[in-house]
Amino acid sequence: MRLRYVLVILAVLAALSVVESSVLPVFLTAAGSRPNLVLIATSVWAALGAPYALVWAFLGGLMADLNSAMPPGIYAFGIVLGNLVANLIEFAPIPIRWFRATTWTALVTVIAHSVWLAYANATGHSVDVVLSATSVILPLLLLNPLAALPAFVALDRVTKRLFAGM
Amino acid sequence: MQRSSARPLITLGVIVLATVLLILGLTGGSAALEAPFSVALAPLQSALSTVANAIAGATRGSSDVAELQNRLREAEAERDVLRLENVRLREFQAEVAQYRELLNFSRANPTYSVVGSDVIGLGSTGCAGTDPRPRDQLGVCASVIAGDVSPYLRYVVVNVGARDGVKVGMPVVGGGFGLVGRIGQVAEASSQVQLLVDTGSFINVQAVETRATGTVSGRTDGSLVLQNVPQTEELKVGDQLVTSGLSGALPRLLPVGTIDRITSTDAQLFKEAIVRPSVDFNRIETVLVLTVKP
Repeated sequence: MRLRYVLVILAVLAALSVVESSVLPVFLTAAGSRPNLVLIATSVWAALGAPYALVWAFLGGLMADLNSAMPPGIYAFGIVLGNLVANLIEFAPIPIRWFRATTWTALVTVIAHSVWLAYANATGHSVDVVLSATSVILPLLLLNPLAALPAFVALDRVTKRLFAGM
Repeated sequence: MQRSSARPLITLGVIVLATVLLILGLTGGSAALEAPFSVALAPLQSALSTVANAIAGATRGSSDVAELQNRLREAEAERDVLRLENVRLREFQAEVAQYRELLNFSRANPTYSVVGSDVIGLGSTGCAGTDPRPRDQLGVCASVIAGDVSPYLRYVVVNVGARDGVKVGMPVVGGGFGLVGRIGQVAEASSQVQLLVDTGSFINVQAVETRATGTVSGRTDGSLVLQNVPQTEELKVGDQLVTSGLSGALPRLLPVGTIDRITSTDAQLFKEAIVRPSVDFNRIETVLVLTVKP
């Protein structure tokens, strides 16, 4: 992969993480209703079968980690683990590509949020698991896959252009 | 995912890296890694946050509305000052009542020799609170530039850090000196503020009117709850809660909120109540970090 592409992808991930932390909270004040932009982008990227998707998921997660009170690595770990588990979709192939991308995103959302929730509870934050599941994870199970649709359209074109010969 | 023969190696490498970072993060060894990023990110976040706030403000209405908003802000600022003054006056009133009781006691027991003192802590909390400095608290003004990406933690990022003299544990206040939270993490150019509504936040408080003491902590739904109030103490809806200063971690008399609803029953060991915070946590833009410890 050319260095130019690497830099572009890194810049996009950095921009998404900054927008997720600085811009979305201004317009969407309820924390649970904010889409996880980095998670969505990296999940769709992985669902499309792009090269080094896991590496991008890890780096994107690290950038998001910089905007969190969680120690660096937790957000990244959640996304990486989510994408690893979402690989199981390979065993039950979904022929419709956009549906595959949204299902992939939904799966990563559940796994990543479970990791973050477990971390919060393990470090003295008495987060109500049932309430979090209903007020955060459940709405995001709709919101993140929905937001994954435009991401799918955009990234599908990008991957076709970037990796046509690979 | 990539189909090359290097795939298992890359996967393994990413997992190992993620695990190493996880361990570094949990043991606090990642602060040095974060420092350069915080310096680079803070101005960018600050600029983006300002633009987003400006757009949000512009879309909210016309210039007439802006004028009204300005007037409302002024009125709110005035109200905040008066509210703080009111809290302090009520606190002084309660203190005077206590001193009167003590005076009555010493008059009723003339054979005792008495020495006046302030309560500075409970149990073995160490030497905190003995600083004789005046109560003129100096602070660093800060703008909120980001929110936490994790929906399970209630933190915000402010644009002041170690280079501005900010340290972990310093109190952060908003309009009317209402307590917003405490500094949770400090980077070179930015800091993470743990909001009162975070589920890991616990603040010692005292009711202004009834003098009941307890702990205020955050709940998952973003509300505040008053806990650990002994059954022998009285709770009153509408009573204001201020920081008690016990343990010395926070200054006394910072407004925390108002008792909204008492939720406990007589059968419970401790009383509980829902608290309406004195700060709107969804709309905080500028805060003051109190850098001088009481």
